[in-house]
Amino acid sequence: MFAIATAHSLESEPEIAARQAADGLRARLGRAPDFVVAFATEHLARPGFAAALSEALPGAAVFGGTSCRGVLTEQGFHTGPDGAAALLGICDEEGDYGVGAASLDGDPAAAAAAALSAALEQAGRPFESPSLIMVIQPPGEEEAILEGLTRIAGPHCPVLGGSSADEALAGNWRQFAGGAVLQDHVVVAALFHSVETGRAFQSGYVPTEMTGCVTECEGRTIGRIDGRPAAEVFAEWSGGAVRADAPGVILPEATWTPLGRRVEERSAYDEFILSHPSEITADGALRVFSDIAVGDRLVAMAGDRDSLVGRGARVASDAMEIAGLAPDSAAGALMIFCGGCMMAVQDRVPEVGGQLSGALGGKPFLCAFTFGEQGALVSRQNRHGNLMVAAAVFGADNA
Amino acid sequence: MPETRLKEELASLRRRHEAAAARAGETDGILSALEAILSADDPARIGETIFDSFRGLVEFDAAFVLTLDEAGVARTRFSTHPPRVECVTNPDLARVASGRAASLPDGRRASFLWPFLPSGEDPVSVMMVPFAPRAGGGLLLFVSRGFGLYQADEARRLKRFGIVAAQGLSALEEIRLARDFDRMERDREVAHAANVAKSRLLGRVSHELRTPLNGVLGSALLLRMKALPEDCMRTIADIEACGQEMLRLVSDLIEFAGAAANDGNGAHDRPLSVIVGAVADEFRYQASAQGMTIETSIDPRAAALVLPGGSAIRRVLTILIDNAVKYAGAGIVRVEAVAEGGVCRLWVADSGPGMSADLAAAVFEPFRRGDSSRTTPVDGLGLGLPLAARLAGDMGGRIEIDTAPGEGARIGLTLPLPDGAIDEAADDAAARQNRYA
Repeated sequence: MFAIATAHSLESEPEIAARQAADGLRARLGRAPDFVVAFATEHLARPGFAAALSEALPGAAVFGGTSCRGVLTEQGFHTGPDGAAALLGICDEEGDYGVGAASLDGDPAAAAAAALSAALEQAGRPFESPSLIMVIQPPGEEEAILEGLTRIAGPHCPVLGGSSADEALAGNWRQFAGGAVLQDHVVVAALFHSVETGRAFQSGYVPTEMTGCVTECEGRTIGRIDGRPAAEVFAEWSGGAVRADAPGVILPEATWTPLGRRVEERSAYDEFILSHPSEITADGALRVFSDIAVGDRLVAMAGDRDSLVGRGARVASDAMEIAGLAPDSAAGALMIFCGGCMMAVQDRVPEVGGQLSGALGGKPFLCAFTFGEQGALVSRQNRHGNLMVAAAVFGADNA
Repeated sequence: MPETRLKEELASLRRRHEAAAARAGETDGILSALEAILSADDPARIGETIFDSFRGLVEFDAAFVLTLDEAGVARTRFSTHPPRVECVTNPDLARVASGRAASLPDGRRASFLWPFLPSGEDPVSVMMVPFAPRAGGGLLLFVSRGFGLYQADEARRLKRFGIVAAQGLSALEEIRLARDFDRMERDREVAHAANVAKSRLLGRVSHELRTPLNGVLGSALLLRMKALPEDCMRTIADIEACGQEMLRLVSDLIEFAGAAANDGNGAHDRPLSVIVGAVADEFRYQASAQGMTIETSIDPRAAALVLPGGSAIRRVLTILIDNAVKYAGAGIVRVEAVAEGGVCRLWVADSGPGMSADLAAAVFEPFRRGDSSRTTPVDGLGLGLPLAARLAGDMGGRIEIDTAPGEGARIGLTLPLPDGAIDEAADDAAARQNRYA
């Protein structure tokens, strides 16, 4: 038997919120879940939350972290001044699930490998590649973390992940594993589910004619594009929404014109991984939320509010179509949605939820809002990107 | 609709189209593989057929079909390469065989897989898929040099194909078994018909021999009634003796051929006591001429039994008494009938020279005669006891012999009794008695 349900709480006390959501989940599933995905706003990310959750759902492997400004489920957008929490529980008698965590502590790749090994061990399948890896970490070292996961599970094991987020980029993001709320950890879940899944990882933005080659770069700071100061080039690409001579945070303005890198993988169409410009420095450089290298060809991407609102549903539909799942054969879905995109259309998040619900045939889903998204492209390559949407739709029947 | 959203829709449609095309290609691959399996006509190449059918669906350097017994021991049934050990035991193999596919990015991490991996230390990807071409658990194991080449989704897809392919193979094997059975059955029928024809021919030839033989014997009798010189009379006596002997041999052949053609088990509804008495009476004169006595003893419970195959019982009894009179030479021949424990036993015992154990075992073989060392020649082809044994077998019974040199021989016919036969016989006997009272 495979079943999915969600539950939420808007209680301000972490312990009460955890218990309320856990009770709701158990009631909807009719039994204790085997695996739980928990997302909460930073308000509730205190030790009591994870401990109460673990106590209320003994035996469940618990994975999660903080979500930006709320959590979306098929029951609505759960948000409030005192915080919000939502859970997605999976009952799967024929599946195996495990969660592991490791401190980043200077070597994110090694930490990710260790966390995945622990998760596989807990799932009771230490030598195998799971059907799906879920990962959550603080923003900043995602590429290295994906590399660490590859060391253990191989390059083709699909990943669905998000970088934990807070309310205002203040570093209050946390990760949940078992009964603990963690900071600066990578938490990994190994899912050996017994049903078919459809997955998709897309940007939803479309490429423009404006492109340039990175000629100077260090980590996530682009110095020059085509030999010109990166801030200057990006200001042109943004159509004036961003000013090169005004150093500072540009996240909201840059949401509509992110940088894309073509993933040379398909003949019929191009897939792009996005980087969200976050800041213009005083020396004319451009900071982004994902690793860039000298030689990368950047493409100015374009999007709009309507496109962002409909993106979640489109990605979920694509995930189902790619796996050959019809909405009535889906059991539920997990969604990772860029927090920056969400903030750009926050007033229309209920609309996002409604469209998602329609695409999934009214089945349960949980959508977390993160500061960086990880997923598997159609070519089975796992990538980290910004302003992306990742989806995993679970089928109802045993595969 | 703004251009950006049109482009977004287009990209989405292209992705879906590509995925649908990939699924269609996969389905084509599966159908081709199934076709290859179902058209395989050489059972000796079944392993090769299985591996060939998977080659279009997954890349591998080596592959193995393992079957699991009830104790969870996995044995290699087919393989592209010989494994280093014949059988392994591991719960993971049992889990896969029970229906849960698995992919291992590096099989070297799992020591139970080492016997199937190439030598060296480089990573080797392994995928395990449930596959049971016959009843019972089994799995397919694919091995490929390189790290993390297989994905869980792939294993799940192959699992579905594996189930269908295994069912196809099972069906194929069943069809082949049915064909083999039909062929054997036809061969058996042809052989049986030939045997019956042969026996009938033998019977017919024997029967045709009997008519002129009777002519010869009749002519000899007419000659004997004339006053002829003594030397002529001796010749006539020889003709008569030889003719009688040949007539008996021909009769034996007719009996044997009839039984072989399954023609000798006619219905007979006379009580056992009547059959025993009648057969014993047939031999009393001959026995008396040899200075022998025939005694009968019939258990009251057996006396009224009317058994199926009465004529066959009569024939067996004739053979046994004839044998006893022939071989005992003198003394007493005792015929006994008892019914107990769900069987009826007819014993014919003589006080003759008896037989060794070896000889006793051989007398049921056709054309094997009694003791060749005996001084008194005994006529016959050696078909009596084999015929008796065959008739007994046809009735679901058996012939037993109890003998030792110098201690006579006791030969018995044991026949199973239908449930309630003794009671029914007693009731019938009582009814008959009342009727005639």
